[in-house]
Amino acid sequence: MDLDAIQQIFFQECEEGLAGMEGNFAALRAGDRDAETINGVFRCVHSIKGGAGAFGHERLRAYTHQYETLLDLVRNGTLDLTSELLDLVMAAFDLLADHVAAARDGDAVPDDATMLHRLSAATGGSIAATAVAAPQEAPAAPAAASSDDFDDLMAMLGEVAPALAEATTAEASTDDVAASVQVAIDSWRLTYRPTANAFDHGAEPLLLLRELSLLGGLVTSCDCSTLPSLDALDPEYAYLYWEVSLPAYVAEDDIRAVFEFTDACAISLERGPIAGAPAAAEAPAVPDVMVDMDALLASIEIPTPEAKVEPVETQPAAAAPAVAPVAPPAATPSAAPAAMPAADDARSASKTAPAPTAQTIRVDLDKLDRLVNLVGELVITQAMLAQRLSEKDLGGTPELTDLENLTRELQESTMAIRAQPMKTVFSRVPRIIRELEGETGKRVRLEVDGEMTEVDKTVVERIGEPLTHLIRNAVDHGLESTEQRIAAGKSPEGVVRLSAAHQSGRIVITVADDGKGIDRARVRAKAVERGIMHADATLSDEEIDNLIFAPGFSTAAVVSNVSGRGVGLDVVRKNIQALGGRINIQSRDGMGSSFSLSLPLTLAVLDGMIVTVGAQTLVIPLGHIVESLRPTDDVLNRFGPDGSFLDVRGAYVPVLAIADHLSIVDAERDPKKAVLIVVDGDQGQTALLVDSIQDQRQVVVKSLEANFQALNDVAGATILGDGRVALIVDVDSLTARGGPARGAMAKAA
Amino acid sequence: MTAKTILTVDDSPSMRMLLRIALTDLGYSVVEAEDGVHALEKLDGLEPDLLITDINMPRMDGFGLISEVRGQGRRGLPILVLTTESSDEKKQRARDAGATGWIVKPFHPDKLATAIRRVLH
Repeated sequence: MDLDAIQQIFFQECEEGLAGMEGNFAALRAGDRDAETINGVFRCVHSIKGGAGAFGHERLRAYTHQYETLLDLVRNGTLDLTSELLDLVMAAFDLLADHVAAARDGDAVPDDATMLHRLSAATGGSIAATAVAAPQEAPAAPAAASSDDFDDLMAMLGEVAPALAEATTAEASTDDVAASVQVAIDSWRLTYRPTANAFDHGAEPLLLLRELSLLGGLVTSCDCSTLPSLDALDPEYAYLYWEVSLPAYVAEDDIRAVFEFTDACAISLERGPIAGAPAAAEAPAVPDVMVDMDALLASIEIPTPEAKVEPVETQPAAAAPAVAPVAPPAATPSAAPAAMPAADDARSASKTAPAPTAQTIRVDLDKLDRLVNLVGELVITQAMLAQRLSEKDLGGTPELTDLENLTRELQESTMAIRAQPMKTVFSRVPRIIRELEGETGKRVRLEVDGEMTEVDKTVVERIGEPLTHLIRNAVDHGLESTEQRIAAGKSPEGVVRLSAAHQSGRIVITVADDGKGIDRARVRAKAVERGIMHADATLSDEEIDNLIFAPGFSTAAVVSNVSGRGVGLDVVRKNIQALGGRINIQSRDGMGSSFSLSLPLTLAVLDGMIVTVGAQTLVIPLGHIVESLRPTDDVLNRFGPDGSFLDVRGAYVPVLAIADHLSIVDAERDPKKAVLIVVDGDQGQTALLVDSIQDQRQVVVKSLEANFQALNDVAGATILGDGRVALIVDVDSLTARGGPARGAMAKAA
Repeated sequence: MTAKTILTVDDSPSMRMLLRIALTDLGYSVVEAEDGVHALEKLDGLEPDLLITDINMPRMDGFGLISEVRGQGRRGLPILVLTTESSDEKKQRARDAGATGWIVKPFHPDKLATAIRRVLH
């Protein structure tokens, strides 16, 4: 996996993190000051900062750093989270989302100068107070007790350590050591003193000495003056410290860098001639001392019979803890049992605490789509098998019913894997509302319901834009201004309700406002002005409401910054239909409007009407179908040689023969002998002429582009039970191109 | 010789993955945990040679984890803290809890290798 792929995961985390924070902000806004709520925001920002640094997004890192500093002060209570400060925190959060998006898409970094200034102003003054670092001092080592023999031994050990450290540099020969002594006459003098509890923290001084020796360092002396007598010695206590000389040519930074990662030690570094030349002079003799070690240790009189002295390994690692084997017997064994119950407690505690987070697994979407596809194939194969068996009069066998049930369950389970909660979309809405409040000066309360309702990932991804448009529309056109609301006796705060729910195999998403409702007189006037309807036409309230979806319709007195973005509600309807969905309006004068989107739960399966046209079988998406009928003479009006209109309760709908557009031969062309299916497309209603209707059922959608090539007027294909391919009609494209009938209408008009 | 085992603890999958790649390249075997609680579960029956942990994590943060680990008697286990904090206060807290040292994020793989070399035999 390359860095880019990891970076993609990072951005995914960012998005999930950012989306997850809206809930925290809603709580904070409602007055919740729970520590974990603000902590969640802090963690989210903190994680982004970490990733931004790792992936080299410097501006994002700098921004998150400033932001995090403020959040930290809020989190630790230094700053009180007033509503003004919360506004700033939320505004900064919105800009953070922009920052992340810019970093992800490689766009220009948003202008954050003002925000950085505001953040820094908000943190100002309080930083100094918290920045005072606690002084770091090594605890004083216990005073040395004396025991002549042992002190001598330790003095030896002190000299062994440097020798061992040197031994780790393979190329270091006695001659080199001598040479470095020469160079070291004017050199760095470093005192390295590990903190007393360094061993408790997993530190190993020897490794640092080894690092220094790699720089060309030479240990000149080991101070063991604080070593107590053997009976008072704590083997896990760091008594020793070292003075090291390093050649003058070594850069100071390189020396300091060795200790950069830790402060579990005190170091002092100065330049000058080495004090105590004898120490340096003795260094070359050290290897002799090392040779004597085993004999030396063996000759020690052991004070207690239980104590066992293990020979010191002549490997570098053993040097610093070399004091451990000569420990008083009580020390190590007693420490272990004491620690054990504590460990057990901790373990059982961690076991009994149930993990509240859901267990998830990230799967490559391609793999998932492959699975969905395979299951689709299985469904088709099962249908073919069922048909073949029924031809042999084996249709009703229980095994076949079982297989059918299993296949359907498998299909549903697989679809469920792709399902995502609407939350991912809904969580972006509070920000949109906040922005709208700023732009329109209206006060809005958002109510959200059913955000855990799940729907296919593709639907989730593609519903965002139409939904945003509807929200903007609700705030901009639906809600009255604060003054108007007060005048109408309403609460000054407008309400936008967003909800999602499953309804008979589909998801219904509703955007409702408690505003003034659709002004039908104005809509009507505007529609007449725009030539969308005839001034004398009689329309029901519902039909007038639906006019706002007509292309080019806009009722805003002034094209506002909010909704007047060059796209109208017609685009919303088009997008919803492209998802196999329908949109409905309900509006009550003075009470508000409600837009309902009804969408399929998945795009992999389509509800379709199976029809016959000539020798072909076609599928018409059910979402577009208004009604189907076998026309009689009185509802059919002919224009020209082959054009005709269907009279649907007073409205004239052009009749379009699918066979003409898809070049299907031997199809029925006489509407009276055929079936007309009235569909709702971009250009209004059209009656599609087909030979007959076979069935109405779900079909598995296969991409024509992926398997063959794109075709005009065809949205995809499916494989029928008998193994034949049926094309799925693209209603919008078919009706938009217009048939001879539509052409005839234009001439007539 | 079997590879040394390093337990990495970070709530960010991308950070864990970066560590895994860097550490695997260095020849270590890597075990991962998502937070302090998860790390303690992993440590049950595992004797890693080094623990590398993030500080800010849900459920149990890095400070809590280090205290727990030391409290379990694992005092010789080197623990490196991954931190974006350069603040001395955080380092102080990490050390008080029992951390051996730290690696400041963002880290270059070389820097990671160097830091590990200083705490791992």
